[in-house]
Amino acid sequence: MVFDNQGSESQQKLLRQLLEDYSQANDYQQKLVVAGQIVQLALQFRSICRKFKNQELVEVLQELYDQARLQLQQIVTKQLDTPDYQLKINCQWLNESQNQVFRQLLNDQKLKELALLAQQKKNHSEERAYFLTELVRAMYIYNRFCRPYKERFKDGFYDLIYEEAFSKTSIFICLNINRYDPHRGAGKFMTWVNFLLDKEVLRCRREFDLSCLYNFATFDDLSTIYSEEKTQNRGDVLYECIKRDLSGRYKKAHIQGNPQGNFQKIALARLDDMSWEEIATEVGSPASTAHSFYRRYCIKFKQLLREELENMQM
Amino acid sequence: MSALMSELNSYKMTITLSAKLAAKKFAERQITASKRRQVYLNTLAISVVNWYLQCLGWETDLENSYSWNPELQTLLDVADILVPGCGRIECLCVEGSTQKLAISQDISEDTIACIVVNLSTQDRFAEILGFTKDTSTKAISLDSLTPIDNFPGYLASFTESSNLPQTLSKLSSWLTEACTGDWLAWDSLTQQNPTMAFRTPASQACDRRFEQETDLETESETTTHHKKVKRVKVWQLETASQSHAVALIVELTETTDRTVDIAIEICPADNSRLLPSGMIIDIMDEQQEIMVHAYIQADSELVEFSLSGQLGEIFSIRATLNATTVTESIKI
Repeated sequence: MVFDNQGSESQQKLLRQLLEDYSQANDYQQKLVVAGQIVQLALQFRSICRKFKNQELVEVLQELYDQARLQLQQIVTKQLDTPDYQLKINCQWLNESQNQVFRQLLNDQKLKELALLAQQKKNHSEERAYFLTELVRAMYIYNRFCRPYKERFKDGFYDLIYEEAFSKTSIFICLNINRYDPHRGAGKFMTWVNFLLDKEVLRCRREFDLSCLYNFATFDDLSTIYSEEKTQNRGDVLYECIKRDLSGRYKKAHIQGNPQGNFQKIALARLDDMSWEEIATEVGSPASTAHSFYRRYCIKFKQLLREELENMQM
Repeated sequence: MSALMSELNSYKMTITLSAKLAAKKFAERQITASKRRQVYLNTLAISVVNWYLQCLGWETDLENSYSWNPELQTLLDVADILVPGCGRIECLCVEGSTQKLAISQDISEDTIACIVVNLSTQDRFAEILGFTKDTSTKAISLDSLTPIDNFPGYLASFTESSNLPQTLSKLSSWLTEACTGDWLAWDSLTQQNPTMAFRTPASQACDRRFEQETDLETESETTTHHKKVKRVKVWQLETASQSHAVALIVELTETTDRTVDIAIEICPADNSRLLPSGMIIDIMDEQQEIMVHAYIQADSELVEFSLSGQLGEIFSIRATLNATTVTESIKI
């Protein structure tokens, strides 16, 4: 996993200031204080062990946080002792070290505890959302995911499929956290996650067959999407369908008291890219009136439009 | 391995294959180049926010979101995600260093928030920048956004308020007393009221089930003499464009002195053959903790649950469709 470690502008500025302070410090005590401030700066940008509404961290997270702070303190102090520390210590190094420390401290037991905490919270509650976020981020930092069936894919496609499966697995875990059973087998959390990921890779491979992937490979520059050229498509059929108005309902539905401002006329003008000001002049009603009428009737007619469109395409 | 989500305070994630394929598919249906671009970017932003919402533990319903409807994609500028029980969330997309962005005037009245997503060049990564509750303005500046960390609490405030019990029905009295409130006896409904939609050809399955069950009922009564009673209540679930009538059928069987078996069935009570897709049924205990959670797929004719309880226990059945919720609280 690659993290965005460049650091924000404010973090860079603060770090430069602290390094300056360190070089100016003339006794051990003062240096120790600055080192502590650098550690604090690194921890400000942590992704896990974040407080829930300013409450104390739960035990498992507090323990993790305290250990991480201690280890970072050692790493930073050691680095500050080297002659070229000014060059070595930058935001990227700081954030990577922070990440590294959390990665080493995390283990399956901690993930399991977070999963069980999420399970205990009410579905759709803020607390559950908090623990799920902590869990997912911790899982990403821990990074013990399987990478199954690599040999079955052509070069380049595996990563696309894997990303897709990975994203779907994260969603499944968060929506179905109650399905994690710590009493099943060895009860390891990552065993459950990797079991799901393995299945999902195979499922995604079936879903996105190769033809779809080749199609995708030719699509990266988006020129087909943004180009002015095009062939007849569903949008054109929709235009045609509103214009034909088989049931007569598109013409019949109009702004109250203004038969000129009917749905058909407004919809066709919108599809022709006319602005609301132009449409207002055309139909003789204020733009806001025409707009809100149009919006309501789009939703009202959505079923009718669908049916007519399907009949026309048959 | 590429970055799937970065650390730091923001949410940064890769845009997945399925998101790009959907964006491409939807964009290609549009008539003009500017519309193709709008639909393409909208769809990418929706996919990112959809991932985020689900990772917070909230189900989303894209099938019933306007943004996923091919006709509305063409006619309107919408990028909504329907969160059942809460409302719609509009996804706004910024590219590059824009500081101010317009909110589409086509967004629906039941929109509860706009979430802003920044798409990087080549659409490799996306980052959620924050959200705004104010959906009535025409434009927002990025520095006025609320941090996304506050979003789960805001979203939870919608589900918490809908958890309050609305009615309380006493099941134990069913065994001895006549129907009260808006509950109807199953027999009276199916026999005396042939105009009720239950008897329409589309929902004959409902009657067939009833007949089978009557047979069973006779049988069980002769052998065990357990008291049974079956009642029905019709729920109206209104959405912006449609109204659905759904029948909640509850059958009680008294097994021992204080224990009652409860069979719950939910099926269409209008001309539809199928239950509205995207409907969610939750059965909750007295503390409003969800015991059973069912999501109705597009082809479900009915859902059934069975539970047993002691006299005096309270549970609720909640149906959620789009932003509408009905709850029936029941005391055994």
